[in-house]
Amino acid sequence: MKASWIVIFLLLASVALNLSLTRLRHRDLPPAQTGKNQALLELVGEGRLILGRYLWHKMDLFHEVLDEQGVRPEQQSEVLPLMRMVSLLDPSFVEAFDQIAYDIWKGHGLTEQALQILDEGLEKNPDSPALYFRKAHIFFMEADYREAVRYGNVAYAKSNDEFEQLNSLRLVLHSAEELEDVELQRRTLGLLLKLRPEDPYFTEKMARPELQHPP
Amino acid sequence: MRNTLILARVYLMAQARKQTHLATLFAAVILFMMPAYVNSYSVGRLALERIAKDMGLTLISYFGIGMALVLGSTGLREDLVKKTAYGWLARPVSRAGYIGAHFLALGGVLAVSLVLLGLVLTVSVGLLGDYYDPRVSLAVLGYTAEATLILAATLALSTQFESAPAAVGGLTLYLVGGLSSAFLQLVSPTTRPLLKAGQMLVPNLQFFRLKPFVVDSLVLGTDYLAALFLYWMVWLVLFLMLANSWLKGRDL
Repeated sequence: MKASWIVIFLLLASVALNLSLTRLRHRDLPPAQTGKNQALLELVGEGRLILGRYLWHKMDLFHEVLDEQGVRPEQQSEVLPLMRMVSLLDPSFVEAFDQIAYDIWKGHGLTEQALQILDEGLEKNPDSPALYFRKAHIFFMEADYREAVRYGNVAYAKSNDEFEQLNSLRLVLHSAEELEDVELQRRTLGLLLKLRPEDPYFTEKMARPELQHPP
Repeated sequence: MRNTLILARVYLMAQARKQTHLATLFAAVILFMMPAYVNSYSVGRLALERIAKDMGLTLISYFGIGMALVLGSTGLREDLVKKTAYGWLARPVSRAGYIGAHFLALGGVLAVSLVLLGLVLTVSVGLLGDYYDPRVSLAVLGYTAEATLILAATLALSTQFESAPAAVGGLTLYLVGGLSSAFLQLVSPTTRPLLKAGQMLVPNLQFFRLKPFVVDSLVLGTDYLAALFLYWMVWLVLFLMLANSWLKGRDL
């Protein structure tokens, strides 16, 4: 009799702890993807990341073969499903989101879908400078310079790598030139010269009269 | 309690005589070499940490479950089949103490093996990488807790069934308990609450899988760890009580 009460108490405690742990896990882990595809991917269980990397390697081999066959990199549609599976299997694999977005934008002209993929990647990796840069790049090429400046600045702020920072600032600078925003050009060139003080290209741009004496 | 500890020592020595540790040493050698193997494909960029930790922890997890199933399904069963259990139970050792001794000995072997493998992984990644990541031990502790639960469940099953069905029962618990909640999306919304309620009747092993926190460098709250420890204790006591009750029901 006493044992039955202990069992009932332990089962109730287990239910309470289960609910509590579910809540805490959702708090500490990034939000899980939903949908039937995701449920099927969960079948892979512990080996998801390994399978993701294996598929990435496989994709690279396909890519080499298609290169040899003379198919332009951004036109290699066959590798897209593999890359998409990689992005679903391992949502922290930023390169997959970046590559898919670039290929479907550059190779297939699907700008909206490319931006959606980048948004999905940023939802999982909110601190990825590479994805912000790609978004800025696409906006720049689509002549939406205000958005290019916005995302380029975020990419610069999120990065600690000098090369990435330079890339982001160059994009912001070119967008500012297109927008004829003198103040933004001066500010961006100031940051670029901080990174590369002796750079003749940036120095020459900074010395232009319209930047030295704005109207 | 003293008798339980003495008995646990006897069973521990029995495991040492069976050279169970050789399997651990074999896995340790693989784990020690793996980061260097992974790094050999990284074109000199030292890009090994994430993959090596992920693969290593996955290996440790499967090794732990395999070991728990083998130890849990054979340890106590051998005693019953060879009838050595009768000798022990004729002495002043309670059945709960007898079960506890088995669990302490087998759980001890399991825990020491997994902790050793965790240390080997930490050192082998640390030797090639930038630093020794202590969080690997956290994931290993999670896997140890998961494996000891499977061990306790298999031990309970082995009091009633032969080794093979007991191991299959333990494996089923591992598969069902480890099912992701994402699977609930495959069933209709009306049956979903029923399945959710059914999931509460087995331990949710997903909670013990802390690998994402280590591999993706996420922050894990101490309140989560405290709740996890309590959850582990609750299910451990439940399985050991079940084993005790089933052993009492046997005509020994």
